[in-house]
Amino acid sequence: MTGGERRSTLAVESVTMRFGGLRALHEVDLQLHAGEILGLIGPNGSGKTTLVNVITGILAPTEGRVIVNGTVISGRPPHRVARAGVARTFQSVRLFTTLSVRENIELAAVSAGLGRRAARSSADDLMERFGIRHLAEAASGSLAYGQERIVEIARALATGCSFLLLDEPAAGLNDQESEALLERLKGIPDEFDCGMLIIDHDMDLIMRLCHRLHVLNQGQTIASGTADQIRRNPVVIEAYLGSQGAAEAAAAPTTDEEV
Amino acid sequence: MNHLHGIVRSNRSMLLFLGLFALIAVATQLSGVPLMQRIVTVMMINLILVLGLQVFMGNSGFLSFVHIGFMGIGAYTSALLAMPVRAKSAALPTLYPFLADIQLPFLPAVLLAALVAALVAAIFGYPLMRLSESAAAIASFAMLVIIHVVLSQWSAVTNGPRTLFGVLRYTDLMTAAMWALVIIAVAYLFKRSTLGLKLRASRDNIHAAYSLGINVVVVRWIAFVISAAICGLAGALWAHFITSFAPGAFYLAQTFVVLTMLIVGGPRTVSGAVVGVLAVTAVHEGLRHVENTLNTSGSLPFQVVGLTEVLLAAALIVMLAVRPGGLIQSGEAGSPKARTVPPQQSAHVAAEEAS
Repeated sequence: MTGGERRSTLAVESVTMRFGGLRALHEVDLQLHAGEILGLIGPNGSGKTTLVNVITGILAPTEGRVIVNGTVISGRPPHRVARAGVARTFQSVRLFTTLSVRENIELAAVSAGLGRRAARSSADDLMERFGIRHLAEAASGSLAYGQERIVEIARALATGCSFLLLDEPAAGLNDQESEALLERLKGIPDEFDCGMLIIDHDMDLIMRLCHRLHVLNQGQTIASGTADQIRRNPVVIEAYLGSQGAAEAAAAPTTDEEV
Repeated sequence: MNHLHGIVRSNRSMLLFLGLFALIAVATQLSGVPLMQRIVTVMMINLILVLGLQVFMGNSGFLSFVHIGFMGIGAYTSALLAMPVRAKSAALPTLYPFLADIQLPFLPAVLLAALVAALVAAIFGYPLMRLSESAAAIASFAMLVIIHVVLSQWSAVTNGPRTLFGVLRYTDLMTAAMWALVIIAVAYLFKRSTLGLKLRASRDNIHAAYSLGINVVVVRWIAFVISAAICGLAGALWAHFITSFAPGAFYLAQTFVVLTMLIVGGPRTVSGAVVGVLAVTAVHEGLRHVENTLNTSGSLPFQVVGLTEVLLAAALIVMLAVRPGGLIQSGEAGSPKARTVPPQQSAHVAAEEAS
């Protein structure tokens, strides 16, 4: 791992996103470094997916900017954000259903500039890595849900991204599948030298996987820190459990918030 | 030897249809029946048109009505370039001098026709590629109308809505068949190319395609230009087969025939497009024969008119209702099947769940 200063960094700088009168994000700041796993959590409608859509160029922020290694990428169309090294998966899996699993992954490598032959072997390596090699020739529209999730992650990694954004990778998986996914995700940042941002509602998975957490509520950052700090943070407890939980937590206040 | 085996295996569908069409061409040529030769020549040209359309429509998922317009541009371009100077001055007395004074051989005229169609597509097609699927379909129809109006009003060049006579006959059965074989190969290779793969990916899921760094609009646009070139080529071949034609030949009737062929066959596959051309040509000629027989036999107290078109249109509707993906929907005919449920998989999952 290279020194702290030279690690590649994705920075969200005071991003605000308004849809008409609705303020979906309000002055959100966030940093993601290569080699780390950052969890983005918050109640439904707190703006998590909106933030991912802003980072990946599907939405242009109303105010603020997104910077990758010193280059401003906000305002660029999605395909140019992707070429800057930002890859993602989607809340509802989006595979190329008429293409085979191999073609899905191969195409990602080709789009990143690899030749067909190199892309193919890169796809084979990734399928091996994720234990889906036996599915290579299968039409990706015919897979089981859990397999689709894995293919989508492998496809995103095939772009050779510096930053991988996973939008609810464990949604719809049973406990066993979530456990297997956790094991597969753990090693990714080191192995692929990328920073990983994960949105998920599976708190157990998030707490065990992430190095840091970032909590959004109603479009605003309410806390960020380690899993332990977040777990004991009264503001977070209030957002998740309502005022009663907050009152209990207030009895033993902590000041871990480091926004 | 193994290498060769691999090539054959991965191109089985393409080789199958190349062989089939070569066979049809040779058999028709040897039969010596002029009517058959005429029908098969037109079929070969229609095949080129349908494949041109398939390159764009099948891979992008967009519907296009404009391609017969590109056929028309190709037909007029090649006719004008290859017509003898004297015939040109008789047919088109007000033609611009730089066009009136040249006469190119067949091949350069045909290739330039394809190029001109491609250029028109490149310039006017780009904005269409940014639209949504349904908007692009309507816009492509508007573009067909514009091309039609220009062809029928640009009297100096096209003789207006009247028939242009005096185009030399260069295209025969074997020429058309040879080009058809080339374009069959082009369509298969395009589908498998990096560009084709990107285009099919954008058809399946546009947001995912963008998220991989694919510039969907540009990829679509390139395919549109290539397909326009193929249709321009078909138009040129047709012009030098028919030898006299009017702008009305490149409008709704021909658009209907070609779209029916593609949609009945299955736009997503090259083999579907090819089979669609065969099927619709057979039905079309069969019905026309029935229609003629009915009319000449006098067994009916009235003349049967338009039976062929009505039945084809009905067939198209039935097809869309019953089998919307066409006769050959996904896997190319003759190629090793894509597995839908991998054999080890079920056992694998069962084992995992049991543990």
